[in-house]
Amino acid sequence: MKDLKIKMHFYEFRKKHIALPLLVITLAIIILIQNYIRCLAANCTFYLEDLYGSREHLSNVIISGNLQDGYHNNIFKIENGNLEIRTVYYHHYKDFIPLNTDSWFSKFINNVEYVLTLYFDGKEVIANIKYYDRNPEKSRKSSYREATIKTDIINEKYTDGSWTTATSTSYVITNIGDRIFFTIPTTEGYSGTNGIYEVVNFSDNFNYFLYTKIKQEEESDLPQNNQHDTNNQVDKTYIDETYIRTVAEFSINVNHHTESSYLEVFGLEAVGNYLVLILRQGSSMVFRAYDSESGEQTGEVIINDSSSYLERYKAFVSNNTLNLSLIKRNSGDENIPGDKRRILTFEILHESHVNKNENTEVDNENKNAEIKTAESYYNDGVIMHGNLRLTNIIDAVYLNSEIDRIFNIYHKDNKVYIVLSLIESEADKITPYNVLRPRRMFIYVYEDSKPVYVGEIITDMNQDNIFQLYEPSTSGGIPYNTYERRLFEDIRIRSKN
Amino acid sequence: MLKFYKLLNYEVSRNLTKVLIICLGVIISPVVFINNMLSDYSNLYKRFETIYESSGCIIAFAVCFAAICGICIHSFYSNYTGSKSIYTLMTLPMKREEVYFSKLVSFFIYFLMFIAAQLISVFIAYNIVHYKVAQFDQGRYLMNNGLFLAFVRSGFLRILLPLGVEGIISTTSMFIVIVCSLYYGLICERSKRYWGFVPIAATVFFLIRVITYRLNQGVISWEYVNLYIYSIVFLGLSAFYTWHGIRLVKRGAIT
Repeated sequence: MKDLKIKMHFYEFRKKHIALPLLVITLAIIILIQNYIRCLAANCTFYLEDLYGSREHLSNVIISGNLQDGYHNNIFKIENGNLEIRTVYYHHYKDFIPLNTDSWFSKFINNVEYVLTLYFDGKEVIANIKYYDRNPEKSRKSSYREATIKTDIINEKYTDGSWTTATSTSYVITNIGDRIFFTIPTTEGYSGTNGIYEVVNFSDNFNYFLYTKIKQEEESDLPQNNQHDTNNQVDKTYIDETYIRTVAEFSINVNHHTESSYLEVFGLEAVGNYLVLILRQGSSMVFRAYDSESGEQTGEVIINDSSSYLERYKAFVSNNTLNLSLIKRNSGDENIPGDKRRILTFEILHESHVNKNENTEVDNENKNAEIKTAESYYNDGVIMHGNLRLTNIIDAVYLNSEIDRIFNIYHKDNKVYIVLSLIESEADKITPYNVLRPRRMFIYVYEDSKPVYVGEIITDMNQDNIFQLYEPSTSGGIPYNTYERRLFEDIRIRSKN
Repeated sequence: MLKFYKLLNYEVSRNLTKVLIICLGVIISPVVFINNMLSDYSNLYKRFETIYESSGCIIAFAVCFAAICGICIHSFYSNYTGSKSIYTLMTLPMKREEVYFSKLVSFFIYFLMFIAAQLISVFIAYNIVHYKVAQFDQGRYLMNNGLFLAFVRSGFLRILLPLGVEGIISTTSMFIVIVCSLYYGLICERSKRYWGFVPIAATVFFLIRVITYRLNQGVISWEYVNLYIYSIVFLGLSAFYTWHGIRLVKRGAIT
């Protein structure tokens, strides 16, 4: 009887008052679940673990960065040794921070791709720089432009369309704001005067001369009597000083009296308002700073060091410092398994230490002599002159591992901060696919070129590979989609003050 | 207002049992589908969202969604069959807007119940997967925070329960416009204003565009759809449907 009464009450309630409670309950369920899932964002593993030394060493800088996949981003910040994260959600491809896309052939600056190509007129070098706008929104508009200059460089070894350069052309393109600078990566066999060039203006038109030029080269098997005349005619039409300005010039001739080695050009980096040329002469690495406006050489560092390669260096610039990571040559201690790097840090002083009047008066050869007599010894085998200062030489060995990527190197006062990721060595590998091998993210701090702190940022990122790691192996390899896994990108280190 | 309250409760309670049965089906279905999928151990290393999507849970969702739509349609047409209660409805001593809204709000309640049930079912599905994967090979395939990652990475779950502001606005506006246009379509059919299906067709077109765009977010493409603009369009269409629907009901065009 009582049961029936309750039942009756229930039916009564259901008929008369069910709507509002239902609405409230369902909305509450949906909102609570939404809130709960949002709160789960903080449940990911994300902390800094000290492996060596005290975290105090991070107190002068703020390290920030992103751990993103195609759908969300954990923005982290390490300040006073505390790691904080904030999660943002992506809705469009535009939200995704572009991955580092520098390739061997081209340089990306602000989503614009620059490609430097060399052509030859006889043995004379013609440099052609192309511009491809890779901004996706502009993809429908015309986004290709180029500029050409005929240089005073002779390549004596040029034969039948084959030539060598010291390094890839992507290393010799750099920018100060919107200004694009480049040089020619000359090596053995080149002579004449190389230079630092600035692109004043890109031409909207295709460079038809070069097009015909390439055609001529293709057809060069057929001897043409009037070829020389036509060349001279077009020369004037395509070399237009309004497109490219020569900022500075430097001789690459081999002086047979004083030295037997040739000068190789490995890179060009912009530091503040200065341009630093990265060169090698014999067993010495030569770094020269130039004023980007006047083209005046303001400083030079010569390091007598043949233990590391200038090829494939990595450069990081902040304020007035240039930080380079070089791959070390394998020498005596070859049996140590691991990746060896040499890190060089430079500083550019703002006031020029070079007496301007003196510099302009002396000619090129005397200038070289001048620099060597005014040498100031920092260390054995290091010569410094002018406003460019070598501040650190760090030799780092990453035992039992390979460097996956160096994200950033920052240098302030006597401390050097390095953020990099390592892959464990071949020996312990669990998968044949390099991209699936677990990566670890580290922060290194050096004080006076000696390691004082090592920390690891521990995350869940390697778990994103599980779904491919244990997949029954397929013969054609695996698809690698950067949207499907969390990757670190855009790591920044800045001074706290 | 009291009359509206009474009518709304009457409308909701009419089909409540059917909706509850569907919700129960939504909640139970993953237990069957996920268990089926996980009986093959070679699926255990996969991510939860992959298991969920390929197990058939989304098809179950689509079927149940269609069923809820069917209940709404049936609820509307039942007024025209048998006792022809539509005449009673239209002669009730209350404002006709209230008659209109009592049905619309009851539709919203049905759909909200369905979505809440769907979310609960995702929870159940995740716990089943988590439990099974944790037991296998010392939990080698276990991902930390997998439920959160599934809601972030799965196209279906991302649309169902978005976490970012833009997604929340987009999903809410889509939900509103789906219910409003369903109701408006029924009113247009009854009042023989067949041109009303033109804006509904446009709505369906826009919905497909937004849904495919949001599903394909992980596929690298340079297409850009501003979700805010589409949300405004959807809300504007919903407002139009409501306004015109009320007009038609007021004129008695649906009798």
